[in-house]
Amino acid sequence: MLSTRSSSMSSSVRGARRGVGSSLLALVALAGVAAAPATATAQERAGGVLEGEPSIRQKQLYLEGRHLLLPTFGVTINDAYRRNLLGGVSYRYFASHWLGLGLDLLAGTAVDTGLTENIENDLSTDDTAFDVQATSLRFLASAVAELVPLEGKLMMLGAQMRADFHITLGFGLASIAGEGRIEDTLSIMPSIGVGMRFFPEPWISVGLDVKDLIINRVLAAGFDGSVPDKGFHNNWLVALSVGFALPPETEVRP
Amino acid sequence: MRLSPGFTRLLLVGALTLAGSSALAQTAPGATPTAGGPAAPAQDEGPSAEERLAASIRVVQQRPFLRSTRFELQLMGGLGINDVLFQHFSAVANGRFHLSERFSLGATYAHYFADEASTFSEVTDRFEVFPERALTRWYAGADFAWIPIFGKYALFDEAVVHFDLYTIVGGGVTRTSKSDDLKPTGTIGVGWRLITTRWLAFVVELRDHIYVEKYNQREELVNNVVGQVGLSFWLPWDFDYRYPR
Repeated sequence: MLSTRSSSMSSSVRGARRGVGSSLLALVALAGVAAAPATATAQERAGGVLEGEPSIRQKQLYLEGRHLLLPTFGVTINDAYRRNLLGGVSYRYFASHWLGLGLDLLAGTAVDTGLTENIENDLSTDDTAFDVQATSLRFLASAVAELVPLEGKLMMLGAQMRADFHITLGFGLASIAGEGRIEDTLSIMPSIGVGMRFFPEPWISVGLDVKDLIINRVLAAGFDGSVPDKGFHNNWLVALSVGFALPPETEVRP
Repeated sequence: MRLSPGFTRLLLVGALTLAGSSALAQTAPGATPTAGGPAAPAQDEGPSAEERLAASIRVVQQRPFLRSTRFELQLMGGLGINDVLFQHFSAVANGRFHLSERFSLGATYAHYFADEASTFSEVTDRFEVFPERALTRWYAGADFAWIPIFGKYALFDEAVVHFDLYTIVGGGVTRTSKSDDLKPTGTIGVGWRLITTRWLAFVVELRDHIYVEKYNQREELVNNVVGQVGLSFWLPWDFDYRYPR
């Protein structure tokens, strides 16, 4: 039996991916539109008293001029045949409060999705076990630019911490692990994503990112062993990171 | 009535502490107090920017945005993010009454527009297997929401945008293409609200609708995970503070 939602934690399809991509664009556009009236609002809230004053005084520089080393763990979602579990490290240097540059290095392994298990169950007989031949992400290396449009602070259950919302743009290489008749390959890998980072202390951060890694590969061979042509596919990565900041103390902008 | 010396001392300490707090607040960042009291404005030019700022600071500042006893209408578009064989788009309306600044009750209707994804044809063509069709038609339910996190962002160090993060727990019913039966559904979720004006916010939500689907061979627990983005409109449009400052 192939129950459609039992494959729920699995990867994406080209059509579905196009939909997610456009919704991400819509999200960014909506964010821009929604944020636009905020300037006026800030002035209105000030009631005129703070008119002409800077929005931020004595700013703690959590990003600007600092290095971040980020051990990262991630898992791909909406995969068709293999779910990728990835671990690695990222590095960022923030040249300004809104721009960081760095590298992402991730290595991984993969497990079968529910869809793969269902296909194998349906096509296996008492005498012969059928295995789906599919690819997975073995190693990913990417240069990354991180834009930080939103930076601020929050209260969580009485504790105050710093937070930011960022957009990542990357370009790199992906090493693809083949299986059966599918050979190992190398692919270019543009990527785009969004994320949030929280600083419970000045020297440590916790981040959650969602990225679309666009990779050229074969997803799976057919029942008869035929290997289709490669194509660019979206791979949605949800990543959790813990960041260590240097210098550990923040500076204050006068 | 006579007060004990210890209680009198306690009252005195309390009064001095309060007075000190007030003075601290008045002389907070960048203030330039003069001897004998707060800075006196120049007779001709009025108070300086620093003096106006110092005078505006209170020990307890006003909340920039009030939620309590207000109604919020959220209109969103959604996308199913965990079904690889079928694409689910949704139009979502959430009505939410805020009981306080942190807690609210909501009602939701989500209508789904579903179609086969390209993986569906890949699977049928390459493996010659035929997945069952179980498309989500609609969901209706109610929920309880709690805001554990709130704060403010600076947009490129300029405009200030307030936000909150909320969690949702609720339940309702789901209708799918498998049958006309209404399936009891549990819902959990998180949301991020960027507040742009007193009556408008930008909302992002992630919800998991959990129900049991009857497939031909067996019943299975289904997680229908949906990402949603949209706008929220607040009524009344504006609000007044109890005290002017």
